[in-house]
This record gives sequence, C-alpha cells and structure tokens, in this order.
Amino acid sequence: MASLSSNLLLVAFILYLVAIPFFGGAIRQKKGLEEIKSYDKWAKIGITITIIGFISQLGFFITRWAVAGHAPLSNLFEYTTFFGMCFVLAFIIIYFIYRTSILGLFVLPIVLLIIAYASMFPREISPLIPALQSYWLQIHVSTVALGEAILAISFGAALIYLVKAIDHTKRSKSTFWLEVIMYSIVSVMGFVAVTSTFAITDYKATYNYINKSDKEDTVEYRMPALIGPHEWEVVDKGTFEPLVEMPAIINAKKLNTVVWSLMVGLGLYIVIRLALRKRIGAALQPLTKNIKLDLVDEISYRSVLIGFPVFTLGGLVFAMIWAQIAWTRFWGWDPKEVWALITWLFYAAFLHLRLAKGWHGEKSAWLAVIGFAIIMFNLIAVNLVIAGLHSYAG
Amino acid sequence: MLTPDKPDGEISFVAIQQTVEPFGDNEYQMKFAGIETKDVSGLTVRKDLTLWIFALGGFIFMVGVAQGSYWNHRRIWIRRNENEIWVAAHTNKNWYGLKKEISFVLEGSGIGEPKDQLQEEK
Repeated sequence: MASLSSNLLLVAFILYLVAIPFFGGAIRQKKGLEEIKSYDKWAKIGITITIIGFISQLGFFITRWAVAGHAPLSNLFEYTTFFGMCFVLAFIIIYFIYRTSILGLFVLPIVLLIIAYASMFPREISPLIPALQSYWLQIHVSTVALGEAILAISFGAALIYLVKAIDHTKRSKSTFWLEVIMYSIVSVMGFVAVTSTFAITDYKATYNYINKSDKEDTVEYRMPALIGPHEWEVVDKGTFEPLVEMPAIINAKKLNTVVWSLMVGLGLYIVIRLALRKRIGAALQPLTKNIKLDLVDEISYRSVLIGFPVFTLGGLVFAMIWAQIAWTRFWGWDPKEVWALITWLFYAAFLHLRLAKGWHGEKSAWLAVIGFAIIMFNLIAVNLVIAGLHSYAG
Repeated sequence: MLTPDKPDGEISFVAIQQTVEPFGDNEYQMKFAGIETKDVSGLTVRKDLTLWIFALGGFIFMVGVAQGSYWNHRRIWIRRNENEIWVAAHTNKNWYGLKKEISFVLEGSGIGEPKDQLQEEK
C-alpha cells in the first residue's frame, strides 16, 4: 500500500509533465474557425490529463492516509505535496472559470517543481507527535494549503502578465526583476538537481564542530561542504575540507545546501541564457501573444479574491481556535504565526490598493509576485531555518 | 544539632509529633512546635472572558470578507439620448466577463461597443 501510494504520486508527476505540451499546443494555434476547434481539442486533452493527474495524486494522499492512520500533513514532504495538489485543484477551478490554456503552461511547471522540491525531504511515513494529534490538524492545515494554493495561482497569472506587458527590447528594472524571478525558479531546479545527484552517489562527510551551546557535536553533510560549521574538524581523512567557516548560530549545513542550489541554479541559468541568447522573459513572451492583458489581470485578482477568505479561515481563524485548544493561547508570536499574519496583511493591502488606489495591471502583478515570495518564504525558510513550534522535520 | 557549648554536636531526629534522641543524654532539645500553611500551587489557571469577542469579531470579519469576495453585482444601463444610444456598465467583479457580455448583447445591433479607456492607454 505504501509503495502504491508513492507510485501514484509518481504517476501524477508524470501526467502533469505530459499535460504541459498540450497546453502549449493549445496556445500556439492561430485564429480562424477551423483552428478554433483544434484549439479546443488540445486544451481539452491537456485539462483531462491534468484532472487524471490530480485524481492520481488524490489517490496518493488517501492511500498514504490509510497507511499512516493520520492525515498525511505532518511533515514538510507531506505538506508540500499537498500544497502542490491544492495548486492543481485551484488551477482546475480557475481553468473552468476562464478557459485559459496558457495558465496551465505557467502553473504546471511550478507545480512540478514544488512536488520535486518536496521529494527531496524525508519521505518515510512517521507517527504523529502528540502536539499534532487532533482533528484540527486536518482542518487547519488543509485549509491553509488550499488558501495558499489559490493565492499562488495569482502568481502564475501575474507572471504571464509581466512576461507579456514588460518591454523586453531594452534593459530595465522590470526586466531585471523578472529575470530574478526566473532565476529563483531555476534555482529550485538547481536544488533538486544537486540534492538528487549527491543522493544517488551517496555522498557523506562527517565533521566535528562546536555547536551553539559551546558543546562538541558532529554533523553529517550530504553534499560537499563549501561552508563548514563552527570550528570544524574532519572525522575521516580525505574528506573535502570546507572553504569557509560559519559562526555557531548559523546552521552551516543548511546554508551549504542553499549555496549549492544557488550556484547550480546560476550555472543552469547561464546555460539557458546562452542557449536562448536572450532573457528568459523575452523568450517566453511569444507564448503570451494571444492572451489579453486585462484577462490575466482579472484572473490574478480573482484568485486572490477567492484565496484570501480561504486563507483567512485556515491560517488565522482555525489556527487560532486550534492554538487556543492546544496551547491555551490563540496567539503566541510563533514565527509561523507572524509570517501568516504578514501574508494576510500583505494580501489585504493588495486588495485595498487595488480597490482604493486603482493599482491594476502591472503594479498589481508585481504585488502578486511578492505575495507568492512571502508564502514561499513562510513555507521554506520559516520551517527550515527559524526554529519554532511549526518547524517540523526537514 | 550544634550549639556553642557542644561543638561536636548532639544527635536528635525531629519529626512531626515525635522527637527521637537515640542516646537520651542531650542537654538541648529541639521539638516540632507547629506549622502555618499557605496554599500555593505551581499551576496557573487562566480564564479569558473576552474570547467570545474575538470569536464574534472573527465571525463578522469572515461574513464581511466572504460577502465582499464572493457576492457580485453588475448592471448595464442603456439610454436613448436623441440620436445616440448611451451604454454604460458597472460591476464589482469580473470586468472582463462584463465586457464580454456587453459585446455579446450589442453584437449585430449596430451599436458600437464601448471602449475601455484604461486598456487603450497601453
């Protein structure tokens, strides 16, 4: 059953991958009566494959639930794959409202990256720690994931908007920041590539070091240590010697992973740039030719509008109820709580700026991108780097 | 039990309601006289009487934000003004959909479609 479960996830992953070219095919068609039909056909195949992929991933979720005996939402792998699943669900819903194939072309690759990213973390089914044993786990976590996923759709739409609207013929602040977004996405690929490479070659290196509380400790690196821990010392002879040493308060192992991902990401990015001979944004622009700017803007706004109440309910209301039950305080300034509040305030500001100040179009698209960055920061950095009640195994 | 006279000390076991002096030759005696108790516990009990206000506030907020987000209104005005027909529309959601609807309604009627001046600037 457990292997069935992980196979279902793999099947879903492959189906999402297969669906992308179909959405690509759907937007490449030119206008004309004959082609409009085939346009529909391509998109229909694409969305059908996506839905089958979604059902398969739902199967993964349910079988894993059956095996574990609790909702698989308790560690970073489980939460992140669930987030990916909600992302697809949100895409399917938005697709049926607006029928835009191009959204699939931008959203599905991001979903693939999210699932691949999740798979880099421990995947074992583990029992639930007592603090999480409550039906509020399912309610709170699933609503938050759904809300964040719907909000993330607005990032996909905003990306399309920016790729289309920005003038790619000359270098500007906008093209620079768009490339920063592209580079960040490529760096996630870098992370996946570097983690799986060293996992396949089974790289291990152990170091003795002095930890935060001035005690001797050992740490096992799974990739060559460019960044060494505080006062490191190699255990086995012949191990790669770190180039830089970090003070004890910084988690050198995680920083090392980040540095590796950014470096490999940079390498990949340069290769892509050399292959394309122009900015990635400029290369993507022809794909957005047939979409209307006001439609993508509308999708971006609509998904924030749908996602915001869901996020409020899951991330603040249910979260507070559960916190009151579990810890007898509904608010405790835990890092995750603080970042959830920041996310919430940010999207509230997004909506207010749009309605009161008329921030439509490009401004609103940039805000949606920043909002997604905050969500990702909350998902990744707050879990892994900052210690708090919400940092589960990673 | 050390006293200035007896630097080596004398042996005495003092317990509640009984004092045992194993050798019986103590010069000084120590006895349990009594206690005063103060009831203290390490537990803190908190009762937040304002929780219902938060819950009510949260509920009102959710109702408001759901209304603002999911309820929509749209209207289209059509008015004859001498030889012209004026078309105007307003909605709080999905402007794009409203535009599509207007163009659907006006299609083939000979009335020109209203232009979105915001889009034209670009």
